[in-house]
Amino acid sequence: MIVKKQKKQRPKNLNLFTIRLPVNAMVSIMHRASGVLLFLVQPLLLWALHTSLHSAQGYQQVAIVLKDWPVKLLLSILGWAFLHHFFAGLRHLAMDVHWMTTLQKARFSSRVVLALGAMSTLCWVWVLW
Amino acid sequence: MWFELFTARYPGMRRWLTQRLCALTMAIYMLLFLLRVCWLSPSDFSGWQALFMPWWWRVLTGWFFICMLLHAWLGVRDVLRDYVPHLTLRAMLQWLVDITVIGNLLAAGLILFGLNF
Repeated sequence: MIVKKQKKQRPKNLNLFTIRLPVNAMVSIMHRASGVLLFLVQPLLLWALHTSLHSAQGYQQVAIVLKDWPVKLLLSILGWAFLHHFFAGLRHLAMDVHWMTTLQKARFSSRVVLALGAMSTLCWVWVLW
Repeated sequence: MWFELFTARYPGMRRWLTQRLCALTMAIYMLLFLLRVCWLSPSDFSGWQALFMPWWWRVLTGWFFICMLLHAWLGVRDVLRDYVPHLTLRAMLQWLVDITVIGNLLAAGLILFGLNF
């Protein structure tokens, strides 16, 4: 009974506007979010692959679609999602084999992942537009 | 033996290891893809088709798609388990995800090895 009462009295803050995530948590949750986003666009990717490989007209069709600016914007976002997921995933793999697991090193590698993601996204956007 | 980790005796380990091995495979494939695009630099339809023409590249790409879909399926499964506490709703969403993954896999197989191409 006492334990139950204590549990109820425990202060609790789940307000997303006042919770400040540490950089590790940011990288981790963005890894998740980008993963879900990439899962959702798989059918679009497969459609583009099918249409562009099927015939010359299909290839032209995809090329024209990819010239639209909303599509380019979407592709920029997806590019970031892919690149962040890629680098953050490599970081997770490194941690799985016990590299960079102290808090200090993990913070450092999180910043490296964010920087690599941002820089490679800039390259991608530059090539795309 | 190490391959015991992939048997039903270690279901959690099996999922965890599978997801990570798939991730590694995909990372290697993406690098190869980038190298191939730089090497062949396709600028039109015939160039693009030539990129996917060799049988070994189609086999590698098929392997990539299998890994990608397994990886994504396991990842989305974890996300649903974390964020959807309502069991019936979760089962329904999981069912939708399963159907999508199987559909994507069939589509990828048809694109790579289908009659049309």
